[in-house]
Amino acid sequence: MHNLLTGSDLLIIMLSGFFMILFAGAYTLLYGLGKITKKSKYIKISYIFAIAQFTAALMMITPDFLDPFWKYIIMFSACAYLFIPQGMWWVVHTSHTYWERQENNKDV
Amino acid sequence: MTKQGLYESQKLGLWYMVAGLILFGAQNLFGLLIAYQYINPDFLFGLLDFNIGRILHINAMVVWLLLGFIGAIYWFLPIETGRETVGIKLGKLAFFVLVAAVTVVVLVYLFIQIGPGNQISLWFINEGREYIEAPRWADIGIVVVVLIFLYNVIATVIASKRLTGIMGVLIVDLVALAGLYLAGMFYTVNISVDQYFWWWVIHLWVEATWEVLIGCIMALSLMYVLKTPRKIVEGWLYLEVFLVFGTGILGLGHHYFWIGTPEYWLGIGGFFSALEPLPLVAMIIHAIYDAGAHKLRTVNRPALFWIFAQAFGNFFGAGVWGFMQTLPQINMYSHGTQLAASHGHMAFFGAYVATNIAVAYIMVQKLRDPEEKYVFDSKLWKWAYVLMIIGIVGMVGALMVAGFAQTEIERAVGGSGWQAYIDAQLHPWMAEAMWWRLGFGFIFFIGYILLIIDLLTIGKNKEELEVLPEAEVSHA
Ligand code: HEM
Ligand code: HEM
Ligand SMILES: [Fe+2]
Repeated sequence: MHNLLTGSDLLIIMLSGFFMILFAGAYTLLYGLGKITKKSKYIKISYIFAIAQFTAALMMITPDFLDPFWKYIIMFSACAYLFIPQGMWWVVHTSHTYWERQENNKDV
Repeated sequence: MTKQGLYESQKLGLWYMVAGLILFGAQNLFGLLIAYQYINPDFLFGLLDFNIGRILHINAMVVWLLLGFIGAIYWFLPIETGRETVGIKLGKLAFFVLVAAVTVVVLVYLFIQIGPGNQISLWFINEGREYIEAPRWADIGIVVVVLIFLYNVIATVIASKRLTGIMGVLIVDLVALAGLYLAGMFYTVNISVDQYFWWWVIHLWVEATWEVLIGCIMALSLMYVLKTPRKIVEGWLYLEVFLVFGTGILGLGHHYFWIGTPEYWLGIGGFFSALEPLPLVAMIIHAIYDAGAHKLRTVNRPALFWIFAQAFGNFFGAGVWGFMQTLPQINMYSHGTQLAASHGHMAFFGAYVATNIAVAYIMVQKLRDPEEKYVFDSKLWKWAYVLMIIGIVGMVGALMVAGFAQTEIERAVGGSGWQAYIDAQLHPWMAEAMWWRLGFGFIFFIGYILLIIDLLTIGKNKEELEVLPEAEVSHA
């Protein structure tokens, strides 16, 4: 934290942080909706938010103010948010189908 | 069992929820009072000062949320274990002791507003730790009540010889939650040490043990509302516990930036709490999947919609609003501004108030429609739902604008001087926001009133209800 901070740097970092998570959520929501309703339109729109999320993260690290360590953390989470929807979908879907099959076998 | 087919434990759960919801009303009234005092500081000055109203507002919040959680557990416990709760008489006694103690504490706050900072005050008036200000005698009482509650839960599970995954997680979590409370009970003369342990209670409650607790309550609720199979909610719960504890425990460090704790907390706190939104984003997928997989077919619409509100509210309040101010480089400027209050309102409402309301609707259905023959629904709950959400979002938005103005004008540009402080306070973004907060607070309060009316009336008139298709009537 050695670099000097200006008012506009602060605004940029805070607002981009806000939008980064907000867009990550929007991406996840739309991706999930697209999958569940089987409408690829939602999934396509969701990728716009994925890009927006990543862009917000890049904006966060543009001012000189943050040290490299922090910039890495931010970019690491930005990458993680890119794959959360797919990853979580896989987890939830796999466990649902697995357990539903178990339940059905029991009923027979 | 009672005439509605309720276990005694469920009756007790209901009492807890009723007591909680009444206290929620008191919380809101004090909120409106102190919001008005922000605008007109002379109002009731000397009679009911801001600091007292604030104490009552936030302590009522903590207590009512806990009452609701405990109520939810007494409610679901017999369903999970298939038997009446062990030691239920003692549990009921504890309830009355707790309600009496809370009443006395509130009266003392109201009647003795000023006094010396000595041992007598600490034991009998106020222990002086924000959010958990109960004097020490009441603290000890609370510990006893919680021990009885833990005994009820653990003894029932043992007696039933059936430990489900959810109950296993729940018991471990409750023991941790109760144990943490003790950390907030020891007076030390060193304010850094005092704050250090105080945050164990506050942060490790709301960002670790409470999150897991509502994870359990949500799992139980989903099994009821959507009939989601147990294995699925349990698998999900384990993952959630792993992610929430993994990031939330050391995320504690985001409160150790400026209180005199060693510098390494800047790195630890910033790192882990920056990752805290990850599980909250992941939960969105879970909510959508479950809702979609069942095509929104539910036995209880208001409960289901409050469960959605929970998934999204938790993400917004804790995830988006928390992350925005959690890096030490940012927090150095935003610390203690209205941004903290903005985040606090959104997160507590989204994560915890929504949970309790969902459970309240589940309880009411059992009272009015014990056989689950109907889809539980009404017109009024939608109004309450919308008004409460608009109210809270409006308040949070206003506070966020004010917080940005403070962070920018007072801190970043003005360098935190006295004049800079005054400039920020007088800035329209700050001054007008306080009016907006009050206005939206009223909207929230109207929503609360409608919620209570709805809880008292929903499902009474069976003709208004949709009959559940025969095939879907619960087999349980
Ligand atoms: C449901 C979960 C949460 C609740 C109920 C909650 C509630 C609160 C409350 C009430 C405060 C103000 C404390 C005070 O009086 O000083 C606070 C502060 C804070 N919270 Fe949270 N929070 C939650 C989750 C999170 C998460 C996930 C993050 C980070 C990503 C976070 C970051 C912070 C930070 C950095 C502060 C300090 C603000 C300051 O310096 O003024 N919170 N939280
Ligand atoms: C009727 C609507 C409400 C109004 C008008 C209101 C107003 C206020 C006011 C004026 C404060 C004091 C802020 C300060 O010290 O600067 C406050 C604090 C607080 N309120 Fe509310 N409130 C309302 C509802 C709620 C609800 C529903 C919750 C959550 C369940 C809540 C949680 C909190 C918390 C956690 C704080 C402490 C925040 C901090 O110091 O950072 N309030 N509220
Ligand atoms: Fe925290």
